[in-house]
Amino acid sequence: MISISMIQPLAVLYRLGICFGMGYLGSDLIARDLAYFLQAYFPKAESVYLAAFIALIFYICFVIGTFCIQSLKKLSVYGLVPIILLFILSHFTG
Amino acid sequence: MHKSVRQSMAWLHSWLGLSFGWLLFAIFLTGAVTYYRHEITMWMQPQFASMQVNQDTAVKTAYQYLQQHAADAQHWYIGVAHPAAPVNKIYWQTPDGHYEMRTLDASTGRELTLSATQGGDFFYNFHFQLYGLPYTIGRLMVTIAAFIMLITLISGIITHKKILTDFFTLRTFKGQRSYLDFHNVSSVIALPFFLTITFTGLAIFFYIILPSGMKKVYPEHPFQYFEDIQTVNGSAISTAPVKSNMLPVQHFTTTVQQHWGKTEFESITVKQPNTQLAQITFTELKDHSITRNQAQLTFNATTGKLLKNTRNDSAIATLNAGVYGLHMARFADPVLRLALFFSGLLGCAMIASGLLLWSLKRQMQKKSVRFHLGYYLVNRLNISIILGLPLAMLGYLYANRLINIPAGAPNYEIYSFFIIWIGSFMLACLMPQQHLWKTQLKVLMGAAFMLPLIDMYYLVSQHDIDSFKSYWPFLRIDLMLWLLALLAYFLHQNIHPIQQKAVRKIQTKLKTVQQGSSS
Repeated sequence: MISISMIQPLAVLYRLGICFGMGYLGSDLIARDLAYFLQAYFPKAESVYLAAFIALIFYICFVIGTFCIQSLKKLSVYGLVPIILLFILSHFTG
Repeated sequence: MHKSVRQSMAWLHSWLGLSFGWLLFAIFLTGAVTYYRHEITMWMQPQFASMQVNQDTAVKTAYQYLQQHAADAQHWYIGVAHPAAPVNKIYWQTPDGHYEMRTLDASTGRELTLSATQGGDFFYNFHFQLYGLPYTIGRLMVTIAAFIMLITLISGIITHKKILTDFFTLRTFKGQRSYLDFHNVSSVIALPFFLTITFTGLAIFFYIILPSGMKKVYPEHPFQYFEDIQTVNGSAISTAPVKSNMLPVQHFTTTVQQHWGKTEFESITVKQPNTQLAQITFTELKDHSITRNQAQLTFNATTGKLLKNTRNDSAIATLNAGVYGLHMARFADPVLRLALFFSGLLGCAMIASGLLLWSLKRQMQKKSVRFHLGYYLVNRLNISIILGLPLAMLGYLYANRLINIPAGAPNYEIYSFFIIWIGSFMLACLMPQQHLWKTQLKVLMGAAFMLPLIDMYYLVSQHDIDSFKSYWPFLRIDLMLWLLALLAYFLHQNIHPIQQKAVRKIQTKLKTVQQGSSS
């Protein structure tokens, strides 16, 4: 049986992985997809910058927001669902 | 994991702060002194201080030099001499794509072989790309640190529910409480500065951590983004360049002065010089905006025709320039610059008090007197960053005054910087805990106090000063050094009582634990 002293560090590691790792993945996908979509309204360079600016703000909010969630199950759902959606979206943008 | 949001944020705040605190302290301290990098360069190269700058001559001589040595280049850049940096710094791109750099005497246009010192630029470069690491790795580390800093700031704000009460609470010399109160006060005083400087620093290097947008939109040449965000139609010219004579530079300087009046230039660039496509751009030194938006005029260099403004003035491009402008604060007048410098130092104080608080808190929570490698290392790293880095910076300045480094020689100033820094860490590792702070504070105090005296002796013996006016460029740095000596003295006198109180508390606690276990 796994002791609580072993579970605790693994839970912390999992939490950090979801917050920072998944957060980064999400921001990267936002920067990519948004830059693609914004080209319809702005010149190329402006779309890249605006997309990256929004992605950075998303990353900060994501880390702070997900770190406030106590339950690991909820954290997994709230952490993974947006990333999966963004990933699917990025498939349409090529 | 934690029962409340505040507890989660406190955990995030303390552990992220500890993991990146040392790196952040180094970035903040070198960043703060970067506000005065030209002044430090002048202090380290006293021959600069006596140079008189006439910008008309400086522009003419640099232009002539480039015509003689780089007529077929793809691009010229002239960083025009001005009172804060009284030499012309030029570079050009050769036809095969390489870059050549020179420093020129502003009056004669002759190449200068000054000492190999990097002056204040060493701190500037260290601030955003560290030293000795490949540029990309250094910048990536600094960007990650900026991100962590931002998360730590926000989690710190959420943790302190009574932020206003905390601001007015400072219990001095009361052990752990003093560190906490000082951490809170220093954080709240300059909080807008910390948030701005951290976010803008992060946004400047977005292309390192989030390059996917650039790669998606510019699959062939991602770095074309930088050209496009600064200029409009930057790559629209498709005609092949044909050799053609350019007009003399005096023609352009006269026209520019008709538009702007008598002013100083920051730089002059020439694209495709000595061809019919040659474009010469003048940039004004004074920045009247916070968006790094100095006035610019561009001419066709062969016909003299004033061209349409090519700067990208769209809202998003202005936001991009504003991020740079706010971070670098080129617009700041002397009073504002001093305020920003002290805000940077407050950032150092905030990080240092946070690191010390973490260490002291863990020591007080310990239930035994057994050696703990983690606490030992944190303690030693704390001292070698908080005191070791200022000592290393002083060592860098000492080396400048004590060792003459000719051009092309190894830079012993930088060697001294790192040797002293490592020395401080080793000394901290070998010292017993009770002498740790006092020893290094004594060294810091003595070194900071003596350097201005050595500087005065050096300047007088080298005949670099002959009046108070010629001494002032050096004295202003020396006064800051004496201020540092005074701060070291204050800490030397007061850090021991704080630590003693904490130690007494720990001992009382341990006694209680032991008595409880024996009964």
